[in-house]
Amino acid sequence: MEFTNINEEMTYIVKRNNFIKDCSDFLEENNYIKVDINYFEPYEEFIEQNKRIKKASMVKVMKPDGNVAILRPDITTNIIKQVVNKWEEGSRLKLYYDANIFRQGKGGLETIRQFGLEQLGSSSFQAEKEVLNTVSSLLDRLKVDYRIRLGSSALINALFDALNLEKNLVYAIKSAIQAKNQADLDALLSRIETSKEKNFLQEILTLEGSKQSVFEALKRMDIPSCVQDALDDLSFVTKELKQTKRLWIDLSLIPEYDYYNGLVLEGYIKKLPTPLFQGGRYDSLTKQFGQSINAFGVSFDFQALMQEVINND
Amino acid sequence: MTELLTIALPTGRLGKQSIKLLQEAQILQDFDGPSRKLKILDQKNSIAYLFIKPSDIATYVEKGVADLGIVGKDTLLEQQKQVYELLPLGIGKCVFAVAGFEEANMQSEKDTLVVASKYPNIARDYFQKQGQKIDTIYLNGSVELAPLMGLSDVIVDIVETGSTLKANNLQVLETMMDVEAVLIAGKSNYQFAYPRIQEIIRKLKEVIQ
Repeated sequence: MEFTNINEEMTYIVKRNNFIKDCSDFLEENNYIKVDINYFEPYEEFIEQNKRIKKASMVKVMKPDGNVAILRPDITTNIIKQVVNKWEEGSRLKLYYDANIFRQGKGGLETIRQFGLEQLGSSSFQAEKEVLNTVSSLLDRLKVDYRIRLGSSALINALFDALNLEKNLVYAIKSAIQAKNQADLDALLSRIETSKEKNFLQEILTLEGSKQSVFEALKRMDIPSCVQDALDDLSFVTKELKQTKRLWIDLSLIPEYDYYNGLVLEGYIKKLPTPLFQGGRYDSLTKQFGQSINAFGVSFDFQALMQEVINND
Repeated sequence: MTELLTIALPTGRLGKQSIKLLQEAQILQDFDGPSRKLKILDQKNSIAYLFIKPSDIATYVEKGVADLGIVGKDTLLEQQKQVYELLPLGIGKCVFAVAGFEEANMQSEKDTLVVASKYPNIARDYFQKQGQKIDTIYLNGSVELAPLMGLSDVIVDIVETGSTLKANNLQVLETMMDVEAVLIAGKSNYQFAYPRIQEIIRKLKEVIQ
């Protein structure tokens, strides 16, 4: 942001600092502890775990030993690595962070400030309920008009595991689903043999709406057994949430990162082209680093949230 | 009162086809015909229409200024915007093709094929998949002139009737893919305007051939 004079700039900085303090105070009142985040990630390891992330978007740094590191493009991976090695059975952590992520944008290097909360070690439904209700309470307190889109990576993963397709085809099908492009999806699915899983994928773009309308639609479908657990989980957790009018079920939701393995979500406000917040369950990521820990988190595009709050003021 | 929905339409020929389609689907009913206005309001249906250069449509939609837009798939593929592609509309149909002189050697004896195009990203992706190195030259129009004047070996462009190619002694050397106009929505506004967007899709599906 550019200012015409120093007084305007100082006024803005005071508003920003108050806003940061408000958010931090709120999370600390809810027993979240602030953590620091490392700046660097090993490049090879990161792309191995996140195959659909565009390599060109990462900010690479050459280390003296010739290995390549990247400036963190994501916070969650970073937190897990810090926690996993010291993990003790029965621990329960409620963490939050306020840190920049980095990427190569069209106009050069971009820094994006993220603010997020994570719960590690809590039973899965409890963490999901608590985190989502905390997010709702924070946004209500900030008077933000938002919508939460809920989906299930467990459901998407189960379908693709059962279909066992070649990886380029999986990538293309996921891209068509992410773009809500039924025509491309139909064309891609025409290449594979008929099965319950294929039929479910063919209908997946229609499976969005209020919880009631989606589960009504599911009753009329022949549901593959591999997705039943994921649907039961989704049904159960949504019973426990506040602000149900702002909730939207979208079974076609596929997040940018592949490490999610359960409930996933994206939050939107009007006229913001990217999600205001996003997150989900990522137990499988913790397993990749050596410990299977229940883990669920949400991160906010902090600049966008702050702008929305200041605009509404 | 119904909340106003905003639809971005392209100027030019695709815009005229889009208006006809929207009128047939009874989505656009309060319209006096073409004018120089860049924004009109169909009060009867509570929809505002923006008339925008085709290459800017996806930007207006992605940024949430318009709830929906009609844009050529060619432009969308080139720009890689973060939008939903909700429905192919059956208008603006053409093919993406590599074109050049009949004798143009696609497996160039040179290491690098020189390709002129308004669509450098699409050209790069296409030839990369074929394992052919290329140099792309970005041109904004009259791309057919490039091989005529020796600026490029071939062009990558959309071809509707092929008459411009033929008039310049060029021909389609390879067909890359079919393209047509599509209805797009921004990810955020889609969520907020979902019932109205679904109603528009339903009406369009009834008239699309």
